[in-house]
Amino acid sequence: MSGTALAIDGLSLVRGGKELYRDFHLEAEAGKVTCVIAPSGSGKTTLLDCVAGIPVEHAEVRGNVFFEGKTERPAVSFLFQEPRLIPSADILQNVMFPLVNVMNRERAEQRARLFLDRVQLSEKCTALPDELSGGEKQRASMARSFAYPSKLLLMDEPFQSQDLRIKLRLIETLRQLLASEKRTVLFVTHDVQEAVALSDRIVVMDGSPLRVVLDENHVEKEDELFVKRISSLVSGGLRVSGSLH
Amino acid sequence: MKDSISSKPAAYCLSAGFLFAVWEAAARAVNSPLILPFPGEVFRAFLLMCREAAFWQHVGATFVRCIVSFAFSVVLGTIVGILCGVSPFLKNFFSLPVEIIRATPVVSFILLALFWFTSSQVPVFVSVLMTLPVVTTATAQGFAKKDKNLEAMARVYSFTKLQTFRWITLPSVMPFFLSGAVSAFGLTWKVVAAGEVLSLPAKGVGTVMQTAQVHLETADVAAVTFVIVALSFGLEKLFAFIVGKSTKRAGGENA
Repeated sequence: MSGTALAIDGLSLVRGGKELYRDFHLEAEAGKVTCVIAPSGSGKTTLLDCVAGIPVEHAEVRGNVFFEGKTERPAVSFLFQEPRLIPSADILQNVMFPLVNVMNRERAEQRARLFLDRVQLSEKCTALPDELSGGEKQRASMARSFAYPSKLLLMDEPFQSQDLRIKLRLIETLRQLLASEKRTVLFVTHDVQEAVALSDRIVVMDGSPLRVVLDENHVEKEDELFVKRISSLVSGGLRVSGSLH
Repeated sequence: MKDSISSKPAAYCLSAGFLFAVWEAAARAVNSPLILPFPGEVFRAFLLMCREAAFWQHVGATFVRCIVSFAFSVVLGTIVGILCGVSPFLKNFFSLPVEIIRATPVVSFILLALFWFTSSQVPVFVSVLMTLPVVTTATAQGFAKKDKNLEAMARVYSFTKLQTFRWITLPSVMPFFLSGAVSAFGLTWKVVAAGEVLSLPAKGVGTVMQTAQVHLETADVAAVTFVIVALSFGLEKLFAFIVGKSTKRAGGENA
């Protein structure tokens, strides 16, 4: 797996009178985790929405998104900030819903159970989302993202609302899944440690409209100076959580 | 002891006792059964009515009108509510007639309907008209409260239209729709009875009330009112209970 899997080309976006992006370009290499790090509320989620094809309300959007050189959007997985599980469906159903449209029911159930097992939720298949803890819900959401046969995974600060202990466990689960199921990942966050812990490449953005202030291809996981350097690049709003290694 | 007094049934019993005491006291003060009969008299009139088969035919006719008008109201209200929910244009389009219906007195519709329909159809028509805004508004509100985050998730994961409707739209709309339907069901009895009083169909509790009023049988008017209140209250509670049970069962099946 190599080459450009995703290319955002000339994205310009104005929402509510605020210019979030102006002629913005970003490419993500196939099979790698590309992290976009920017302050809170600067338009990171909006960037992922544009890639996923989710309409951005009250916004004027221009530009193109290419997937392996084509504008046709392939299957995309999305790990949202909140788990976004259907409350009236059990965990197995939640993971299966996207699958039954792309494979037969039996295979869909097998695959859903396999990924629920990988996120250590096989015992909770029949539980409703409300019966799960916050961390378990996010793991169920992770199982759905990886069970869905897509090449591209978008992640929008999926650990933001978790405490450090759960966050570490979620990151570990995510690393294991990524090791076994290669995906091109576009990850947005405002947490520098999260970015360093998970990414192959970090793109730091700041300003209004957002512009790239650092594009680092070789992320050193244990380099505290690197974390400090990123934090100092952004005018404010970045978060440095405890060590995630 | 404190718990038994503060419980809901105990409070209801005390409240009912208080109302009867006020009624009895007022009747004694007025001392004219024509203006305000005693509770005992009304109860006797009620027992006499209950013994007559003809009275139950009147009740049956009213009941059928209520069910028919409620069914029409639910079907039409749901269709209009869905249209309002899916299209902002249609929501604005329907908001004017809905507001006009809300603001118009029931009696105006009854008197107008008397020109257009038979006396038996008038209560049904008026009841549909008065309860339609309740069901429509409730259904449209359910659509407005849909979880946009879940809809975005469904879009990303290419849910079919049926999946989105069954698992995202329906669970959001149902609580609003059912609450509207229960309110509409309670309202139906009042409007149908009012329609019958003015249109005087051959059978109907409204006709019984009007006849009793003409013959200055105040106790009979009060007794029929009591029957309408009891049926309306009892059936509304029964309907709410059935709705609650089926909603719980649906939740259980989903799991």
